[in-house]
Amino acid sequence: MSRDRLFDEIGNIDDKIINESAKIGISKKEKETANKSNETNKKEDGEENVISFDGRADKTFRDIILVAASIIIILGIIFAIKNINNDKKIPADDIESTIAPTTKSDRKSQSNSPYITYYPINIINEYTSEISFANDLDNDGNEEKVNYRIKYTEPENSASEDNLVLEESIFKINDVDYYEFANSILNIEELVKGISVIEFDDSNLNKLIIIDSEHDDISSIVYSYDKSGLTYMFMSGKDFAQTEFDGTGKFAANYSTPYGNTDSDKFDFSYSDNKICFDNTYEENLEMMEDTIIPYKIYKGMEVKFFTSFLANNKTLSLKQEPNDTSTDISFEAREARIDKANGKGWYRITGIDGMSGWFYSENMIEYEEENMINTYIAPQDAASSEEYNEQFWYK
Amino acid sequence: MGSTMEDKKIIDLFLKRDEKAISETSNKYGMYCKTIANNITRNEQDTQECVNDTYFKAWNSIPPQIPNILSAYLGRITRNLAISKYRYNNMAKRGGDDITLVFDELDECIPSYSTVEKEYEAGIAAKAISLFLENLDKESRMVFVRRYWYADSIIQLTKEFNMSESKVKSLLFRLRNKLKDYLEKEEIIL
Repeated sequence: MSRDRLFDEIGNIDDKIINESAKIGISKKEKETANKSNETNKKEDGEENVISFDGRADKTFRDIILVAASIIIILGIIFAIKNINNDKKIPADDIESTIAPTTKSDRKSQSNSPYITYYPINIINEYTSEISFANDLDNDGNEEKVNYRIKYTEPENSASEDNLVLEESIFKINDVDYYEFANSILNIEELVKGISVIEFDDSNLNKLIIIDSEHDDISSIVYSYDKSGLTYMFMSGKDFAQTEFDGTGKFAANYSTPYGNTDSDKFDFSYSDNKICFDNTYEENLEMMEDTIIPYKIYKGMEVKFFTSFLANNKTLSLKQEPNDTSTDISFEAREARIDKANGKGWYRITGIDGMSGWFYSENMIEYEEENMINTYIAPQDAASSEEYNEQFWYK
Repeated sequence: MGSTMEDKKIIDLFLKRDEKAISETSNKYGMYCKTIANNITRNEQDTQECVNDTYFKAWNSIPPQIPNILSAYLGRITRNLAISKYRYNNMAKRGGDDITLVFDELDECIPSYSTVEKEYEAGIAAKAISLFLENLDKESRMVFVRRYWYADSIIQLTKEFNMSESKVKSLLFRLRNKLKDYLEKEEIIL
């Protein structure tokens, strides 16, 4: 038995407990009515164990209420007239629904400073890149610069084993972050469930807008671009649906909820030498990011290059790249995969920020191994040949 | 905003087989049911189907049943329909969506032992969970219910309860562990 059963059992908890939390979609007034109805029913239950709806008792009760209400109204009018010169106001009833309170004031207590760490990615050649981590701390808490070199090996021909099952279980990534290497995102045609890139202004290379159309939990990115070939990718925190980086030291995050409400906040960052650095003070997010691989999806029409996770513990890095995929929405970090090697079709699982995970299907999965890797990766790809593959993937 | 009918009167309409019961239910609880369904299915069409089916099921079940709390009664129907719809849609493919996350989180509450021989009787687990929730402080209880009954997103909870995201998460984490301990102690096998 399982969580499904538990979910079902939770579904059968006491009505009172459900009702106590039933604010969504019910106005305050309605909720009060529901509570009142509950109390009335309970009382009647105690008397007869049967709820009567013949209306007689109700009528009497209603008459009492009407008389009481009339008295209150009259008193209210007298009171209002009496105080009219004092400019006192009679508070209006709050009968509005409580759905989606997403005004700025509603969000005021939310932490809104993203956790960002910057790591320059230096592409050495088409098979090797380096990432320098400047913010790792040694045992004394001093900043320690750590260099990692990413190596990528050509995909090998698949073996003929059918239905190979790779259960990833040894990844313990305590210091993982996500690196995106995006140099051209154009013609985004289709919004995919999840985070969707809807706009990329290539003429303004510091601007990338992302909208999360499905999830409230949002990871967003800041994008930096350098024509020299040195490219940086920065992973922001979360909580914002749109980000706009204008290169002037301000970072705007605009919220957008499934209910259509929007909000915004601004964050400061430093920007120099093609590096962006946000305050790395969002410890809460740090905590959340532990043991987490942050997923991203590849969207139809996107042409992106990705550096993904690395293994901090044994200083082994993995590199995954995605082609200009036009057939499927796919993710790039497969922590667990099932692939039919005979036809390259299979499922792979990603686990993302906040522990979100899911299985995704790809018709073009390919297995490859990396030097010193302790695990075999599965990565989708579409390219017909390795040459084309590399040309397609690597930034020139 | 149009006025809504008292629950008792709506139930009365159901009992009298007056079709106005549906419109009044929709008027009062349509958005409520829709929110629950949407939290789970995340699909507009499925949501609408669930809501319509909720009315239909309510129509067929009242009478003989007479809900004590109409909102909870309708919400439960909607939730069950939505989760069935979700499971059906995801038989072949699991997506990394929020309701999956809800399920994943609940994995942590499953008691680890499996050697205790005890026949499961319908309702025992639900009663135990209710008791567990009743013994929580109100805020914790509401956060738990909103997350695991109403399938609210974490962000939604941060807004509703004026908490930071990490606080909501850590609270839920603690509650899941508590529930797990409790279920193990009560020898509830799930």
